[in-house]
Amino acid sequence: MSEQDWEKTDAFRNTEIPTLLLIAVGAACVAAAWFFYTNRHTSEQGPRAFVMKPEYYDISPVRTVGKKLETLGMACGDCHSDPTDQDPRTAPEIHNKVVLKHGSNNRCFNCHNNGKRDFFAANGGGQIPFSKVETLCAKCHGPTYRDWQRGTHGRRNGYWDKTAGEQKNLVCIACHDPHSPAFKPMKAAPAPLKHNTPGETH
Amino acid sequence: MAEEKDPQGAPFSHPKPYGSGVTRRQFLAVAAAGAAAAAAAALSPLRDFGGFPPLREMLQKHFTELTPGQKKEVLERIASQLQEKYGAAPQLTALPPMDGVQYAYALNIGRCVGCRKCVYACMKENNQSRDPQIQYISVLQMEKGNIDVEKSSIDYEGQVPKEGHYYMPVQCHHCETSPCTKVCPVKATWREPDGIVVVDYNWCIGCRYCEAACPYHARRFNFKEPYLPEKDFNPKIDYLSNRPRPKGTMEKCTFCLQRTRAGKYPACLEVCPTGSRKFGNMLDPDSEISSIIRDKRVYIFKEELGTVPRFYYYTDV
Repeated sequence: MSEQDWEKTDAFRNTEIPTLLLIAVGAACVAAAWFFYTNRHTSEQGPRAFVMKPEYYDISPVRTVGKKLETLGMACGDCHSDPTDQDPRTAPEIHNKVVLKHGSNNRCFNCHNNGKRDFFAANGGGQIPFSKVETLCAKCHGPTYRDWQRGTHGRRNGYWDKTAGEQKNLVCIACHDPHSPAFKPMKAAPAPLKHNTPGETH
Repeated sequence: MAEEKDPQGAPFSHPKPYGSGVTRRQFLAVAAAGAAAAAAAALSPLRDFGGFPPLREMLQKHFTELTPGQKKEVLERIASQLQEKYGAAPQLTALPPMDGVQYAYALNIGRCVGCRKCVYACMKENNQSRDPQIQYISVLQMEKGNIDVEKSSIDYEGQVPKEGHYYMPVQCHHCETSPCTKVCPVKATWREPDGIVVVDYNWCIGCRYCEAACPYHARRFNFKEPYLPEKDFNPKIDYLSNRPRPKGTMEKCTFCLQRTRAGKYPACLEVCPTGSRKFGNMLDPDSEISSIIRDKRVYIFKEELGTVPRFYYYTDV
């Protein structure tokens, strides 16, 4: 290396490196100021209120189950005492509003007792009280009824340990509309917040 | 300016003016100021330091090594701390595992509609932080005909179920050969005799090894001081499950230990509108969980990992 090259190198050292160092220190100061700022910002902002609406964790079933077979608050037997040979859906007023979407089961008296309107129809024309509605469904849905009895189909609430407390089996019509039994779509509770769950990869 | 002090302009003489016109003194002053600012920034988290915990808390033994008397003392101390923080007097318990009970959970993957009620019932029951938000259950929206969780999404909104999709909620699987408990360097997490994997929040050092080891992404870490509004505080709490967690500790689903060891169903099961969630004692042949394992088509998530989960997915539709 010639002497001229050395001079060049030292000149470079003497002029450029301190400038670079100054820039680095300046950057460190900016970073420090930024850390300060963001830290103060979050601690002053305080906890953001995420509102847990009660509907997100409401345990009531999707349908309300009454105590008896009724229409507009009146028991069916209040109006009907005799069997009919007509399709009730052709009658005006109330029953023509019933839309039956229960598959091939599209006859009213498959389930409703034609003679005793306050009861459901058992096989052979017997009576099933409202409180035993699951045995009506069991006429066709045998395996589902078996699973419901075992607790593997449907909702079971309360205590898994029956010695510790009461176990409650919710009946078929607490979730299924008997006239349109498919489970209805519902609104989902909000998605998880993305920005404040570190480690979340989604 | 510097040049005037050194008229000779000798290239290597001292003091040599720098090309930028900054003297050594100026440079050092700026460097010192920068170093001080950086040190202050590095130490700034200490401003949030809320003082040392009580000496008794620092000297507390591992939960499994506490004598009944010490356990009572610990529970009383934590209960009084919580009462001070949340106003309400908590019912803090340390329920023991029941004899002859092995818990298991089953989820009907064919019936879940993805409504996320389980997620929020869990948050409500287990006193998770609202900000940053911590949730134990991730409901994966999966494409029908596909079991690849990499193609799932968790950020769907609106009416559910969506056309062409099914839903797979994932939470702690309470594995029999749990990878998370194996990696814990201080044994702050372990598997209880009834099959529930728990964390001693007072013993956890926050290394997050367990979070990395879990193949189900079931563990959550308190990066910040958890925020829980007083009105949302659930006072029925247990030492090993839903008592509020301190910052820097790991937490996870405990099958609602505070409920299930008292004979109740977990909160996520209670709320499920479709009845997809099933829980019970595997050793009881009449329980719904035994019936599912015996009679239904059961699928184990990531079975090939050999984690032997106590959480099963099944279908009968």
